[in-house]
Amino acid sequence: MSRETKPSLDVGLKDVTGALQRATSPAVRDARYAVEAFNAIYCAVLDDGDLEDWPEFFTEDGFYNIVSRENYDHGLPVGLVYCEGKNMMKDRAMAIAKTSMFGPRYLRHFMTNTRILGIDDTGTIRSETNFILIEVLAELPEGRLHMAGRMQDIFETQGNGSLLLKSRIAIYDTLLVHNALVLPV
Amino acid sequence: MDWFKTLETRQVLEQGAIATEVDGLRIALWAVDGEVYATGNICTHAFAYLTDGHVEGGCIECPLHQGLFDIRSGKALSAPVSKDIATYAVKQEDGFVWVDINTPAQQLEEAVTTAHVIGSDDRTLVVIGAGQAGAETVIAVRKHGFGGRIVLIGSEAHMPYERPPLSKELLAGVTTIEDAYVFQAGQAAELQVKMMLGVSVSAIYSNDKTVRLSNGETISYDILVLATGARPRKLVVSGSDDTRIHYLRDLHDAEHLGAALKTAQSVAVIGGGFIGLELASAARKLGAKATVIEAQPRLMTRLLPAAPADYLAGIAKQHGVSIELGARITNVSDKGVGLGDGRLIDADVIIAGIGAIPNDDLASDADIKTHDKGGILVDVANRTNLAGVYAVGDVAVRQERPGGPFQRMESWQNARLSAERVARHITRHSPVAEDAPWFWSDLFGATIQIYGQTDPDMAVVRRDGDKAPVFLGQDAIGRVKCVIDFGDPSALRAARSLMANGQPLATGGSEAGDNEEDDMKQQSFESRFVWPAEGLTRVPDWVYTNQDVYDREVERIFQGPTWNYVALECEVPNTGDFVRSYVGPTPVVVSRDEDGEVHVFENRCSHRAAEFCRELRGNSTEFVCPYHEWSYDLKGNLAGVPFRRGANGEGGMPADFNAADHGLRKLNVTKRGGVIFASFADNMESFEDYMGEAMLTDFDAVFSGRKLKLFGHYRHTIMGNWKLYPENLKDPYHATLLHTFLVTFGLLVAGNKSAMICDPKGRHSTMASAKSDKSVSDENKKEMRAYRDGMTLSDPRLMDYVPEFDSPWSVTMQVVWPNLIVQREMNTLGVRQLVPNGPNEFTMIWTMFGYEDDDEEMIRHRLRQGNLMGPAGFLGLEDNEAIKFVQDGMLNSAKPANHMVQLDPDVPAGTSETLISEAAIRALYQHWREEMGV
Repeated sequence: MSRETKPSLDVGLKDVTGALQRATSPAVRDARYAVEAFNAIYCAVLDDGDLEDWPEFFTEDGFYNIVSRENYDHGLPVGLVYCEGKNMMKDRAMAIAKTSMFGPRYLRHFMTNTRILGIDDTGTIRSETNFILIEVLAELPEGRLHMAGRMQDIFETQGNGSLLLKSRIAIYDTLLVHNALVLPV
Repeated sequence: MDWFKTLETRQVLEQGAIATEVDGLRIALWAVDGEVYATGNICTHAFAYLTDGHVEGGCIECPLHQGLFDIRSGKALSAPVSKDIATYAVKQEDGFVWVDINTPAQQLEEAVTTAHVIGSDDRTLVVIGAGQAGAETVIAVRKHGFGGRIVLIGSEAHMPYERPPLSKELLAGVTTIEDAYVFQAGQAAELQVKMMLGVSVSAIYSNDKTVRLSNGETISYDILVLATGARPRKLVVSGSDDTRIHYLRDLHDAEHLGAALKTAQSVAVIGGGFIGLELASAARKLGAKATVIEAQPRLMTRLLPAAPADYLAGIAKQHGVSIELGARITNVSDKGVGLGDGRLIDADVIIAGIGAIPNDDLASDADIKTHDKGGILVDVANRTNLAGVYAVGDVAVRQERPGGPFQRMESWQNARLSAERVARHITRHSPVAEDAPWFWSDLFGATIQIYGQTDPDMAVVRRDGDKAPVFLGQDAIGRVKCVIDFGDPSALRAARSLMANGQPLATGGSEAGDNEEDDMKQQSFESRFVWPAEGLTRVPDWVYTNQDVYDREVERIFQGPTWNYVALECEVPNTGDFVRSYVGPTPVVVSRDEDGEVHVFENRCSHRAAEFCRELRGNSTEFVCPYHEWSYDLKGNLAGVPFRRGANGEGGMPADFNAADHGLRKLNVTKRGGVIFASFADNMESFEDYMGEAMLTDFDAVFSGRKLKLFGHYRHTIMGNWKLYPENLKDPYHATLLHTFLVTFGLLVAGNKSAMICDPKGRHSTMASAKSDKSVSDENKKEMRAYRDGMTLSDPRLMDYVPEFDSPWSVTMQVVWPNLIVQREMNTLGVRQLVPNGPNEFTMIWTMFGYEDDDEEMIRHRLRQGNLMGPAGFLGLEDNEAIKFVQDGMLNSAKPANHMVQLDPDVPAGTSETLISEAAIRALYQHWREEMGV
């Protein structure tokens, strides 16, 4: 039987020696630090902050998609969440915060293993970061690994030096979603 | 003072309740007893428009939770509302209603909270037939609050009376007709029923909704109840035209027969049913000789099993009645009855009790459906095929569910039960659990009672106590279904409890019903799972939580005669393409062979059962089980067995091993519009017949032949029973209540055209709604303004609907029983495949798609709209959570109980025109019970 072919989007992994070399450059180290600092705030807002602040991590024309690895590997576009532009993210944040019914729960995001794939002249950073999402329901003792995967990101550096997401695609390995995914990852 | 001109007074008076808006305030205008009132239009309890509610007796009942407000005073009258609604002063000028939003209405001294019901309804109920059933209908309909006119038409001059005494006390002269009247003295006047007695109806004109009377008068009706009863079957035999033969149907017959019996020396009773035996009993009591002549080889062949019938014959003989069985009557005369063997049964009084013929001519002349064997066909609620026309009592032939048996019953109890049923339906009350059939007869000084459904072929157990014996009739698995008692009411009570517990009767002398709970597993499925007596308005928890019920579902439904969705053709476009799929919980592989044919086979190696195909999808020339490398072709045939002939001449398969016998288990396959279905059952009906015309129309709107373009999948589990998912899509009631999003952003608002359509069997369904057109769209916006805290969409493209379907609906959610949901939520399209994982959990596999001819923007539009659905969708996540909550409730409750699904009693089960309905859920369980045999 034929194996599913892996997409060749991440050229970095084809050249391990080169990737190790590039990781030592100061620009990459700075970018990695900036992305990690960004993601720490991003996770804090989703876990402990106000959901309606979540769109503020994106540029006006930002793109956000949560797509299964199954679809991603086959080049299929359908995602659990699909937002074109910050306005769609605002609508989602408001709809979930103000109108949605779901059982009470705590969610905690972890983002690690940040890799800088490229930095261009305008300060645009392409990176990948692994994520896991732990969900704890009020009535159950254990937290459950709700989702695991990787973020494929494009950051734009703003005039004040801070980053905003131009695109975030959360590619999840945990194909079978448990009951519901109530918040963004 | 701040007067605003609102609507025309005429409009308010005509409609009774209208919503309007004055200076940003939502105001309701009401007409009560010709007066106009204005109040706030939003319930003080939860967000709902009071004008969508039900007005009665000067009060408005909120549509959401039935809180009651007095319209005149604004007072909150009943839980859950506790805060009054605002009232506003009104005046009427130039034909318009003016409202002063700063001044409350003048308070009345004492608010009127209830009004007497009569006169509150402008409909007219006409009841044809003033027997017991007709009169009981009148009493019951008033009891349940019917406020319209009632006309009761009867051909006899007497007030309505009960008929059982005609062959008993009344015949014997012990009581008078007044004792048998249905109405108590003064009751007819109190009920305000117009009695038209001594008049018959000559025709019904259902188009004009009128009936014509024998006196030429015409009466209009809005609701018609046919209680036309039955007439005695006449004996036709040599001499029957010239000989006085008595029949017993009405008071006139009883008076003549009573007089004749007083002087009779010998009485011949033709017909060995209950009437015949009662008359023989009466004759013996008066000292006459009595002979019962029956054509069948025993008494009551159509009603009772042999044992109790023979016992009854024995009693009759003990009391001196001669019984002639298997007798053919050749002639009747003044001397008596001549039999086929040449004998003459001496008789100076001849009575025939050989059955009754339903009076259904009026009905059949008016195109009301009747049964081949006579009687008016009615459904579970005693409705005929014409809207607003019912039939009750002896004339009604009732079919409780489509495909079920037809039953016509001539009994006092049936007159009463059918009247109650119709009255509840007319007044929009839910059906209630009914007592089993019950019948009694007074014979030879004792009372025989029959309780339950008798069947002449049923097995019977006789129990002899210290009094008269009791006969217990059983069904095929030994449960007690009826009790025939010959005069011991305590035995009857005990037997009724045996019937209620639904256990098979223990054999070997031990008392029935004392099985230990540990033995439950040993008992038959049917006796363990007994549906609640209330019928389809209740669904017991075990339907959703029991493993044995689940196992039977897999066997009888998923592996039974059903078409199960497995894949879309666009997922396997090329030779060698395959996907892993499921039929029920069973893993299957869908593959396309070299000839372009699609095959579906079980994903289980013939050798050692390995689930050999592990990839979700792919392309291959063959399937190889990784364990021992048995290989199968794209059709599922066994192609290769390694070392089949052994090695070095040793080992290997037996010489007679035939690979052709050991292919994978193949399923039948059918396709329509690019959708692939499979079935474990052979001889499946075509998919087109399986769906039926109405369901195919909705299906074909999505799968019209436009080539599908695959967008991808998502998968999720739900911690609930799998049926809760199709139920959710047969439950339009939840849409605006659970999904606040729909209402907040105007996707589904009051006034949208919508429907809950079921196929005739109740298994498939479409929940449909049409996005409002432009003019209503403004209305939507107005309603959306109710949320003044800025809840509008920043990117309203989510709500756009691009018309592209040959359908009046912009949204259809179709359940194709048992495992498919076709989603057409405006322009976001998908199929959802349901895979059960035991009673308490299931997986949903969603396949989202568009069409090959979509341009880039249309693809994006479909993806954007996809945010509504799925496990992270604005609507989808709520459904998943709600289903989990339901399962939690059942699994964690103190003891198992029943769900309540009784909204919309107008429709017992099936398609409903209102969204506030659970009729489609009832239809589903009507079908499920048939499939499952419970």
